[in-house]
Amino acid sequence: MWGIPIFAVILLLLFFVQDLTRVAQFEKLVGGDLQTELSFDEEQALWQKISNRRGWDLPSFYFGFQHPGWSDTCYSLFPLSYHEFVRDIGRKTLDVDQTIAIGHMLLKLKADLRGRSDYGRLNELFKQNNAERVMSFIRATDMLNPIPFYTAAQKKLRSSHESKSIVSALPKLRWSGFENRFHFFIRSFLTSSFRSETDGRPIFRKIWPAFSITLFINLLALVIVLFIGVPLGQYLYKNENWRTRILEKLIYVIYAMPLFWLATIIAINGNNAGFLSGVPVLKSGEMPSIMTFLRFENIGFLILPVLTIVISVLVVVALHMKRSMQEVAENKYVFAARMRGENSVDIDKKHVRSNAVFSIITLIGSTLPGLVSGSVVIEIIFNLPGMGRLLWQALYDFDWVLVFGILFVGVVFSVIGQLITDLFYRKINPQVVL
Amino acid sequence: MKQIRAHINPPLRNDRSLHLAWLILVFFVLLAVLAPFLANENPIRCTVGNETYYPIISDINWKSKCASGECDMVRPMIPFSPQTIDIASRNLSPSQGFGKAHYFGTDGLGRDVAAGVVYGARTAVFISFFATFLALLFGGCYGLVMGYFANDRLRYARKRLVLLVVMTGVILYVMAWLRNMYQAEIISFVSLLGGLMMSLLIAFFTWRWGARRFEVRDRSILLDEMGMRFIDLLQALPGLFIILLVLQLFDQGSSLLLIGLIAFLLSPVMALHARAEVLRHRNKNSVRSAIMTGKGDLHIWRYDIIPFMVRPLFVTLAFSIAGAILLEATLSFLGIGLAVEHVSWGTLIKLAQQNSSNWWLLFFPSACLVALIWSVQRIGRHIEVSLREQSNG
Repeated sequence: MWGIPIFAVILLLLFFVQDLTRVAQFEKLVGGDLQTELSFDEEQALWQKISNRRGWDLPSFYFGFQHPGWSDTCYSLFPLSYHEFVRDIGRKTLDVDQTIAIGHMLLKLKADLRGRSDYGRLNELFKQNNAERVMSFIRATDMLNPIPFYTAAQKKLRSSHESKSIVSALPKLRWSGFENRFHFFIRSFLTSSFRSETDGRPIFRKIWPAFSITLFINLLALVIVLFIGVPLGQYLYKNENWRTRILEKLIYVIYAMPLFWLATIIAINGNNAGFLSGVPVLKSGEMPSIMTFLRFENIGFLILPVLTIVISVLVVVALHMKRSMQEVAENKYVFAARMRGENSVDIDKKHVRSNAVFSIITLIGSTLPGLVSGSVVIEIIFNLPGMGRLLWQALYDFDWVLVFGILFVGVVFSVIGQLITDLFYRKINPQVVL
Repeated sequence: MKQIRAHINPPLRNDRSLHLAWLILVFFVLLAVLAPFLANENPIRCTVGNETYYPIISDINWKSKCASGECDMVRPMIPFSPQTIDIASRNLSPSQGFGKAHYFGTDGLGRDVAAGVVYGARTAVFISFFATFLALLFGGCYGLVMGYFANDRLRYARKRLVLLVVMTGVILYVMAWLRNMYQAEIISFVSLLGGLMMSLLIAFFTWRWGARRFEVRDRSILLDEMGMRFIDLLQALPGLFIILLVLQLFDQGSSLLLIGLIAFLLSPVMALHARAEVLRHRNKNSVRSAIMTGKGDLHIWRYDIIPFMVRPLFVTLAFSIAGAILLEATLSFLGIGLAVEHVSWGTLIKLAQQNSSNWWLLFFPSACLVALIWSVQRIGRHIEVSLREQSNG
């Protein structure tokens, strides 16, 4: 039930990120830095072509305030990187036709002036989005002979600036209907039939193998941790001597070690002639494709990642086990059992341990979602083609459908993990009512 | 103040590892504050003839002044900045470089490791402390208000909500109009911020007004309930994924953005803990008697609630600081945290990973990182344990 708002929030977040990174996406699609390599006409043509397909030439939302110097046509007339600049002109002229004329003129002028010595400074001024400063700069440095239409435009800008009344500056409330970027994004998302934008394959066919690797690593590590960590915690609880004291200090130090640092150390030891040199490690650069990786003979590559996760989670589980056993042992029923003369081994086994394990199950349930997102670090260091790598690549490619799919699977997995934990808890402790 | 100090630092007892933890923490905080005076390529003071300069503070070209005549210089302990490239001494181990003031050795480009470690401490301490402070500010206030007023007083009439939405629209309209008239850049920022602030103010005043004039109990919105659902929502989003999403796409390397993000991730936990603490105290007899004697909410907060929240919150604070240091180092390690100019332990470890035969590149930053995280966690654990002992009697 609570999944629906979460997915709505994720979708909204994706829309905002998508919308705010349009410049970067456009540059990636075109290839290269726009303002230095393309002329204005070329850039405009490319912009109109690409923006039309992606819905970037539409207004942002169903309704909004708009000043009189800007209209919806400006979105497609000017390339995105100049939108703020043209908006600034619009705020001065408060007239759409003048805005378009002056904007086109200045941007064409800028394209003509490329190659001059002052071009870098001019480019900076353009990036500051201040039309007046650009004009005064052009006039101050003799960058070009006085061109009639340029001086006319400047006069026009100045006169409109002076004659502007308070009423003409009133923003218009604009209703743009369903033709807007938000609607376009959601619609294209829902009609994409969940295929990846880069290669057109269904996203779940891409996510599933990657997810299986991540899940396999984490579950294997968790099982190993349960088999080692719980007895270790018990050992720490039962014995109080110099050995356990040193062991506990060591565990606290390991607890303070960041996951990425542990992974780095272990990966370095695997790569070089360290004490782990016999274990296979994927070198950076030889990242296998996911389909060739999913074979049984590659299972050796998973040893070190699993080892890393085991070490980092083991200390948490051991300490938690020890502490919860201590807490349970303070209960009165333990005292009563001791008074009855029960065997101390039996007390530890029946009364203390079996009650202390409950909190371990809660702990495992709460670390499960963290493990999946934490494995981003592991996968990057050990070059595994898992979920984290996939997300990384999807963000780099601006593949929004795939990003959504990965987030979706992550959230669903953490919810399912929570559910399984609850059911398991119910199973071993019948007092709990779900 | 004395009271708060007692809260932070319960009696130390004869615990050597706790002493060590406090020592490490104070050491790294001092390192962070004094970093420019400990590791800098400029001398602290140089005397040429009768004139004395302080190049470490004032930006003067001391090299040209000293080149002409005799120069009496006092240099910092590590006479290198983290970016200083000493081409003559590359890949020096600590034992080789000790004579040349490279106490922790140098990397492949000739940059000093000790200077990097000192500035890395500055980054780690400042970013984690600021982020946690921000998280405490937002999360703590949120938890305090939500937990104290709870659903019985924190309600908002539906009619007022309609009014609020309309008024917000009007305010934004006026702001946009002002922006069109005076084309100053600052107006755009002021319009957004000012509009939101004003609508918040209106929300506050209409809420009080509505509560006094008539009963709004039925047909009102339960703000505490909504706030809790909002926190649930924030916690359900996978944190590192969100960070990747935001940091990979926006201007990377901005430390303010990083602080904001870390604070954003830490604040839900902080809010939950603060709220739980307030809920424990709001039905105490002292609070009830204060209400009976007509004390205001602020008085009750000041004397009956906040003093009892401080120590439990310090546990959360300590673990949050450790988490923030960890997160910052991880993000810098992945190359999406800070810009290259900011030296961070994470970036140092990342560079060391590529050149793993030189042990000193990896050892010093990672030892510092583990030591700092360990010390903060140790202090947090100590407060936690002493709190539990106190409550057990």
